[in-house]
Amino acid sequence: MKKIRLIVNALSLAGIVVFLTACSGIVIQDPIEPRLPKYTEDGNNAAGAFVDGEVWRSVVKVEFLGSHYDPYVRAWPGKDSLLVIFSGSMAERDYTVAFRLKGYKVSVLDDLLALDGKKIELDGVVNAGYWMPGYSLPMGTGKGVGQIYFKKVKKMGSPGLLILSGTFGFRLPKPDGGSISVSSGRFDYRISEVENAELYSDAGGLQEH
Amino acid sequence: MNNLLKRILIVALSNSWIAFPLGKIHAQVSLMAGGNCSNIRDHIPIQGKSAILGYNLGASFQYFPFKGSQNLSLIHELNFVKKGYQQDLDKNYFYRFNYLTFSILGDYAIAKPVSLQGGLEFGGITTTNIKYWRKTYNEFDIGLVAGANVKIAKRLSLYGRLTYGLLPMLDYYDIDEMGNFNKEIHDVKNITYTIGLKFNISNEKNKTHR
Repeated sequence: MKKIRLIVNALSLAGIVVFLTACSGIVIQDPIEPRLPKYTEDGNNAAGAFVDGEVWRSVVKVEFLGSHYDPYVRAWPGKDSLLVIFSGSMAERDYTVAFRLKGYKVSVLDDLLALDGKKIELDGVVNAGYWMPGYSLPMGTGKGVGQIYFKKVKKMGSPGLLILSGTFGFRLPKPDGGSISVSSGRFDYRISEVENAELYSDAGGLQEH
Repeated sequence: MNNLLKRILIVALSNSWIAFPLGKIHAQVSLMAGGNCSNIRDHIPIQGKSAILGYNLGASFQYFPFKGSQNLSLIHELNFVKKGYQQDLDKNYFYRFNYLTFSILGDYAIAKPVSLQGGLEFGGITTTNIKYWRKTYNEFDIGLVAGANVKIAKRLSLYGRLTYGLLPMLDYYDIDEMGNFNKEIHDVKNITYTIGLKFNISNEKNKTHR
């Protein structure tokens, strides 16, 4: 009886480990620029870019007590505002890359499918890119000019789950003068309606999933 | 791996017709081992690439199918070959590809100890040091082979050759700094210089003719 319990516990533990590993990011090294993840469309939960020549990387890490570096999509359809947030690290410090986009009234996750194949110009006024330390939201920081390209946005097998893949590059002003260059960016995330999306109703409250 | 072995076996068997319809064959079986210096050719370009050293181990089967010409022979080889390259950026990134290869070579003896060789090498990657390599690199390769063989002792010969990969290892995109996909690329081809020793373990030609 004791042995059976031990086997069941071991199998449960193995199951949890397999589940956590499956949700964590996979970094497939880029064959031309090995410091960055390769551009993929598989939902590998990874992203990367050069920021002033240094490497920023985002690899979703799922652990027992939570997860790190998850992507987030926040949408306010009433305000026609969509915020796409990628968290990662550079030189052992956390940094966030974010994009504020207008013209895509996202009220349910599947509305993001309209982004498929869209190359969006970041003009720093209507649409903008952001680069921020930590996990802060893009409030009052410099607005980046460049582009984000959602090369492939597609549904995964299960409902409420999308793959968001693409590239980005932008330049934003530093508060003390000069500018920051975010280049060769690429991302390939799984976006779950429950885990990674905050879709607010027109009234301002969160939508019921 | 099964697919790779199947493809190499198909190539090997489809070429066995050269050997078998010719009646009695004078054959030599040898073991071979050597070192190689390998790199890649590219158009993209790949920054900071340089050559790495590897080795090859295998066996060869040489036979003399043409009654009129004892100078001309055919060689079939099965080899394990370590190829690859390195990229020197913020640190050294090594790309090591272990190939199982099957070669079909023609050998022409130009003088008593020296012969020239040329032919094709069919190879497939068995393992690499790169995680998830199947999602990036093509498994199968064909190369042109040119080289020479010098007999240095009764059973021992020295060989040197160049293998010039013909198929692209990589199907990917040329992505610029802003994230534009400029074009699809089919690039990165192997190039390998090999030098080694071949030890003759069975020499039917010597037994019957010398």
